[in-house]
Amino acid sequence: MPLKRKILELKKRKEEILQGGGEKAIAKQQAMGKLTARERVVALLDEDSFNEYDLFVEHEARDFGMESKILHGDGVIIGTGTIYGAPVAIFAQDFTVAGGSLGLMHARKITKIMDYALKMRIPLIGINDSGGARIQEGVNSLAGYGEIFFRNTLASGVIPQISVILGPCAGGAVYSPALTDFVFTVDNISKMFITGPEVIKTVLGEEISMEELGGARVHAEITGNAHFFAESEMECFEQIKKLITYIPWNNTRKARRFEPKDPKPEFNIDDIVPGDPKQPYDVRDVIRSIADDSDFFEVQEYWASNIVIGFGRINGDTVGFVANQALVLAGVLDVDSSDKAARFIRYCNAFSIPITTLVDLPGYLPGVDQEHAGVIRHGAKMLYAYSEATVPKISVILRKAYGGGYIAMNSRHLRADFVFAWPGAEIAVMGPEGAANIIFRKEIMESEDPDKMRRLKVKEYKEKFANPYVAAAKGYIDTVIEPSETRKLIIHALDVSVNKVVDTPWKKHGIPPF
Amino acid sequence: MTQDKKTNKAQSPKVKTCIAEHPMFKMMVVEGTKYRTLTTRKNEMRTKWEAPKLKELKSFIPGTIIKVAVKSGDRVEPGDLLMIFEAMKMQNKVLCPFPGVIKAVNVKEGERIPKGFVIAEYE
Repeated sequence: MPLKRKILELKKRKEEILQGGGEKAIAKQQAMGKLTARERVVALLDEDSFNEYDLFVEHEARDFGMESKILHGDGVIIGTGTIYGAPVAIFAQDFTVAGGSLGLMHARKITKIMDYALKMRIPLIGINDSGGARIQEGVNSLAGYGEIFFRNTLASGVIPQISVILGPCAGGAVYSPALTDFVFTVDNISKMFITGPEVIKTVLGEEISMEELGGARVHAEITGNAHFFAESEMECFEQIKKLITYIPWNNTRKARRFEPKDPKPEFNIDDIVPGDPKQPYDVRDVIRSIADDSDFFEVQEYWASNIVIGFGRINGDTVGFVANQALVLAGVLDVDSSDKAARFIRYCNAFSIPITTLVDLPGYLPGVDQEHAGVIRHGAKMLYAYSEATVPKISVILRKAYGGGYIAMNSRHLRADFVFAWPGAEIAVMGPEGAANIIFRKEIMESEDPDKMRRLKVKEYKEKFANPYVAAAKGYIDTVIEPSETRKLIIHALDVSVNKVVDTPWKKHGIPPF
Repeated sequence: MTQDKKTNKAQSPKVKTCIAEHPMFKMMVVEGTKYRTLTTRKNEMRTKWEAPKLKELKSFIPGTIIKVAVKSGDRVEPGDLLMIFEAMKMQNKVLCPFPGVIKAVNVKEGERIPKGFVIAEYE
């Protein structure tokens, strides 16, 4: 056979496999408002950059009539490509082929590309759209999941791992995204749960729709399993591309440097934070008034929004921001916000991204539900994450920093490198009202007009302690600055921290309060 | 946040100092100080804590009553079998935790009950 004919045969074979599950299945996928696996990969990666591997893989199932079935690519696409020139490894489950179900070869393809990503030290992106384990392949499916989870864990903190949920992701399958760094979801398309509505109904008698149980909104707002929420697949891909620009390829590299840009003039740092510590404002505007081009890329925007986390750039380099959000729940720390911030701090530390912390919080959220939900254990994660982090750590105390919250928010005592405070900062063991009630309890109780006495004593306490100078006198904060100096000082702090060296005692690993 | 995604996005770029006047804002007390603030859906949805009532026997998981071994008026001793309750494919023996007299049994054999249902009451 001449080579030309062999090439023709290859083309024919390829063409057939590229049909995926066939016209009918593709029409069904489209009817659900979803793109096909191949369309997704093409839309996400740079034009013509995708190279596919293992196209000709066939499944090995020999039971339940599976031996006669042809499953193109065994329901998953793997390959490499680039995003804004950065190399990435990618897999995308193809729902049109056997519902994207995971069998032995399907899993082997995924683990192959995972091994490749880890070996080449490039980011891994996984697009999940699967009905779950391929029941006909029995324990081989379970083995497949296990191999994937193991690799997720092995690669954690070495290469960035991104999960994109573009369809169902149920049962054991949800644990791979949960082990990765960032989970992207799309409204009405993403569905994640351990046990679906059917099982919940038959076993427990509770009725709930898939969307209400584990839709994108639920995971973005209630559970915190999702880091990003989009209204369409295309918006989701834009978010992924944007994220890729902020993070390095692996844990030995630095994130890509961009041309420095000044913040936009409409974000005037002097006008954002009200003087009265009881008045709310949006702390994201403070971040925008500091970050290059006023660009802030928020992570987990809708979950535990009493703390704000995300990426921005300062003087061209990526910085992770952690900030108390006075707008929501007065900016308190609680179970969820501690979890959210602690994990982000660890992410930044693993990938050499300096952390800037903006502090303005009244303390921890009071309540039986918080105490019983383990706010002690969860709150401790913040202390652990900040103490452990060796990347440059800069704090700016905008307003309140009371009690345990002050310590947790990257205080000097947890080895912050720089602690700046604005003139309105109040660094104290607790808020003036609470403190006055305790210190002057006797005077207030014995007074003829306790309310008046209380007001008087609160005022007295405020004047004495509600300022940054008591802490500055002890060296707990490095300097008191004008808000307009903030960006300049952060740039300087980052410049002098470039060669930061920290000695930590040898350990296999610590025991964080998981 | 309690607002949906769209409105939230539209509102965020420029926030005025008078923002707290908005009716969405609520009062929250932390260590004696009152703050004007928004709240989260999750915080609104949280279940309020109730002191446990010792005389009520509640299901801690949804399931099915397989067998009822006592009736109202029975005197029971610790360890006595009260009922068999199946949940998650496991048939659990519900034993009497302390001596007393059964005031009411609120379930029948074969009945499916939700979590937190008062199965029986002591006098």
